Amino acid sequence: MTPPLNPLVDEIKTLIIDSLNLEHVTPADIETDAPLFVEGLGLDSIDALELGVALQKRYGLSLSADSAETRQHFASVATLVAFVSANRTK
Amino acid sequence: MTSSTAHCFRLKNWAAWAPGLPDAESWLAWARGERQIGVDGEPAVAAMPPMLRRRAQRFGRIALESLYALPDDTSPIVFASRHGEVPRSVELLQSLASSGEVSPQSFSMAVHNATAGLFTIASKQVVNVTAIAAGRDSALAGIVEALGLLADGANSVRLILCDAPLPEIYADFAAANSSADAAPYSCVLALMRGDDFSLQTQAGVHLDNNEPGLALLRFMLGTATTQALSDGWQLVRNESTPFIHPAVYAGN
Repeated sequence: MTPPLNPLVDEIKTLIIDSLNLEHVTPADIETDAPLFVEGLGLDSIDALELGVALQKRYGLSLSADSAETRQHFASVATLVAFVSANRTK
Repeated sequence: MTSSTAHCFRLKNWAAWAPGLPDAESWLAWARGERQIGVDGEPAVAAMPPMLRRRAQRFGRIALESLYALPDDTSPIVFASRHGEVPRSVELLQSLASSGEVSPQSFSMAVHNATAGLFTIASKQVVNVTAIAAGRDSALAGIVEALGLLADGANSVRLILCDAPLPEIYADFAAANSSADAAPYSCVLALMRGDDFSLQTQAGVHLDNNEPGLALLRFMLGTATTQALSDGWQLVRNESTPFIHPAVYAGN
């Protein structure tokens, strides 16, 4: 469970909304621990690519396009927060 | 197919969307020259699920609004647009030049058949889609394609004509006297076999309109006997064809 005060949580939720044009969604609508893809928020594979580009640009991460590890990082906002915290270069 | 009827059709139904023309009556007033297409605004496309609607930008939303206005029609789609998603392509190229990165989401929607494809996904219609870009002959090419589908056995065909203004960077490529090029619009013409209208070649016919799609719609909604669709090509209204009052329209 991500500490509730971690500012990265809202930052990443906002990044998801902005980069994926989720005009009908607010950060409060996205559950931190819920699945992002297929279930939960209901994102698809194009969204995964889009989000990957946005995360690389914003935080200077390097991602391998299609690995089991990357899929784990993209499971939820909470896993993305942990991944970004540990690997960001900016 | 017989050569005597393959070039003939009937208008079964229609719908259209453009800024400032919110209903069928306003489109009929436009066809009479009493109203003009506006400049700003885009349709809500309220019928489309938000998770798919977010993929469409202004051009796509303008096209989608008309497609959704005939919700019970599941006939093949002919999507004809002169410029299509050019605004997206410009964005992608500028992004590629400045940062080396492009948006996968926008790239996936930049192809010419993407908007019609998005509509069939959202509405769960497993139908034939043909996408056409043929310069100022796009409306003519769309009619020819629709007639081909009817001759091949389709009971009806949805011909969607749509365009939006070119990005400023391409202003030099817009047609001369380009006020018509600045009109964002879409219309769906549901065509079926019949002899109300016929497509004919005619020496000496000259296209004096930069937006034949809008000229075609105006002709369909009016009472004129002929309409040029390209140099040497015209549509002819059968003398006995009654004026067809619109049954439906795209909402605002």
